[in-house]
Amino acid sequence: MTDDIQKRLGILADGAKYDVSCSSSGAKRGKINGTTGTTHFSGICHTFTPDGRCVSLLKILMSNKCCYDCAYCINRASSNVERASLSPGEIAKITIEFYKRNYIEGLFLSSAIEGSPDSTMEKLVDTVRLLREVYLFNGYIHLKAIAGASSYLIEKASSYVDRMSANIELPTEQSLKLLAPKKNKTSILDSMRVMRNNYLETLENRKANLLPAGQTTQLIVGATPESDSHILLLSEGLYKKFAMKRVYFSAYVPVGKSVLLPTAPPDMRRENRLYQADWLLRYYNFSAKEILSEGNLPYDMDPKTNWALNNIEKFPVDINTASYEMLMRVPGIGVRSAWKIVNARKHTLLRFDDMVRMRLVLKKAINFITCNGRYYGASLDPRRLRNMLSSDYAEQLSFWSPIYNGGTNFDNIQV
Amino acid sequence: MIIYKYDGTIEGYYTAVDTALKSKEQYVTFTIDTNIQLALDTEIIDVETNFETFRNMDKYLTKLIGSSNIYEIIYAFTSADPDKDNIIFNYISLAIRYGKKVLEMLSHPYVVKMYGIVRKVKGESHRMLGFIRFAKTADERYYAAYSPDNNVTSIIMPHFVSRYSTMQFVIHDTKRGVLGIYDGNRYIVIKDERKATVYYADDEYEIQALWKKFYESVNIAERANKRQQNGYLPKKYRDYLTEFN
Repeated sequence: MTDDIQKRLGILADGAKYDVSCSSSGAKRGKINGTTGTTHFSGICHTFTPDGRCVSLLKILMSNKCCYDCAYCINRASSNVERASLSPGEIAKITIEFYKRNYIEGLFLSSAIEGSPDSTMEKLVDTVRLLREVYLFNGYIHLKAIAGASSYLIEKASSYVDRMSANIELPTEQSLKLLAPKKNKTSILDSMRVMRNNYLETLENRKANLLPAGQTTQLIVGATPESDSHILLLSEGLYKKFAMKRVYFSAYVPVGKSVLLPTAPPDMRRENRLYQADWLLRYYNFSAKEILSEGNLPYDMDPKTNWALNNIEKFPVDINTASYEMLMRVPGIGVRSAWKIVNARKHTLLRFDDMVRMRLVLKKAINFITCNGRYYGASLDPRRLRNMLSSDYAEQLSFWSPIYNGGTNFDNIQV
Repeated sequence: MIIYKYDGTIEGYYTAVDTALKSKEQYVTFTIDTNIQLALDTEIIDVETNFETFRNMDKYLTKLIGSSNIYEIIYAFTSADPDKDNIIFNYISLAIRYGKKVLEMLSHPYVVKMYGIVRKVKGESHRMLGFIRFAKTADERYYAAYSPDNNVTSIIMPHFVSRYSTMQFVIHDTKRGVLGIYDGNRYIVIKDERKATVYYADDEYEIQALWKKFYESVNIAERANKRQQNGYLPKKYRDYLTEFN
């Protein structure tokens, strides 16, 4: 391999980095004799970049020579970036060499549209076929479903890879038309339908082995005027209709001057709050409407605390008697803490010092619970509590940092 | 107070635990240290490892807490916590008294301590599944050096053996002199304090350079967040990571 490959790899990794998904989770595949690789159900992070993100997959574009001109995209036809491409053979070779050294869990391959959507998708399928059939690679593969590619190519790709994603890109059809005029909503949804059916088939019959890790999607936040409540409602719909594993949010990064786009990126806290709300949708049994009926999520407070303060009449709940579902709705109590509490209280009446010993994080939760009828919190006055729990008031309060990878944190319960 | 001295292996430890349980002594402790300071009222008993006793103890514990939970004890045993032998013993005593219930007694001080060390081991062994870095040697084998806080080599070996079943490789804990060796067929974990000399394959540096280039290129510089990076990837692990060297 030459310096030239190194240079091209640099360009194509740089071009792929705005796709935030890097998860290698969702598929559990053991050893198959004669092949190289396995997949780990909760995913594995192999390193972390200075921006704090997990690197799990070799995330690259096959080519960044795009014939589309989507306004928000760094690789759009009119953009002034260096162009490069890698051949299927080159990609397969790099993947297997990296994999054998335990640098990565596998490959996340996407591409700019070079020629037509179908010719691009065909080349992507060629690459993954080469990896599976010639290199006998049994590790994780995430393949992008190119917008506008025919259903039969999506179908074909499904039989080789663990996960696919078709990016919805923008929260409304109008925005998509405005910023990505050549992409069309119907064809994106068609691809999603094919992927959903394949995944559901595999859920029922593991031998089908089509997209065992399902599908994900991504949308850009802050490039267009849609509100958080709209985005959450859309996400909820995507989870329900298409059996999505994840909806990723990507805060818009200004990549060029266009009158159609804002000049400044959105506050990074917005992406963070959306991810927290997304967590409530997926693991805490909240509905989008409950989290936020209209407008945007507050920056100074996580969405669960915000919900609790708007529903303060439901609190305090007693740690010894509250249902598991209700415990999960207490700000500061997560899946792990709720699980600890319901197990421990089967055998003893939990006292205050039990909670401390079990290392429950009480800082926030203490205001919303009682322990054997006794309240240890500061106040149940929602206004006072709101002031107290606001991050503007108390900078030291820590919340979830944005989790880009389902497999980042091994404490998380995985889907 | 009685101190049971054993050879540092899990077999030896189970033998010592068995001896301690049979003695009905209330205050016991365990050590592998050869020159411990003796207090006036302590008695030291040298326990000779007995594989039969080990197997019986293993069966007994499996019956008590179930085969899917027995690994918690194995995990705890690899912990670097200096008090681990006593923490596990207390947990076992509790398991003898309460059986499977112990798994749910999460507010009991003994259980809190036990799960505390188990959690650390689990956390580190999961991280190591990602942070191990192999280099290809001149004879087409793969070598990885690392230096974990806990003695996790035997925990992580099965993962790599099934993942790289077609390769021959060595995972070397340089701090402890522990090696996990897989010959393409079977694996063993052994102790060997000698230093390893490794000759790289011709293309090894090229691949490493390619990986470093990739690592640099995926970073989004405008979103620097060193604090998060340091939290997920503590600096102590970076000496062995290709992309940091």
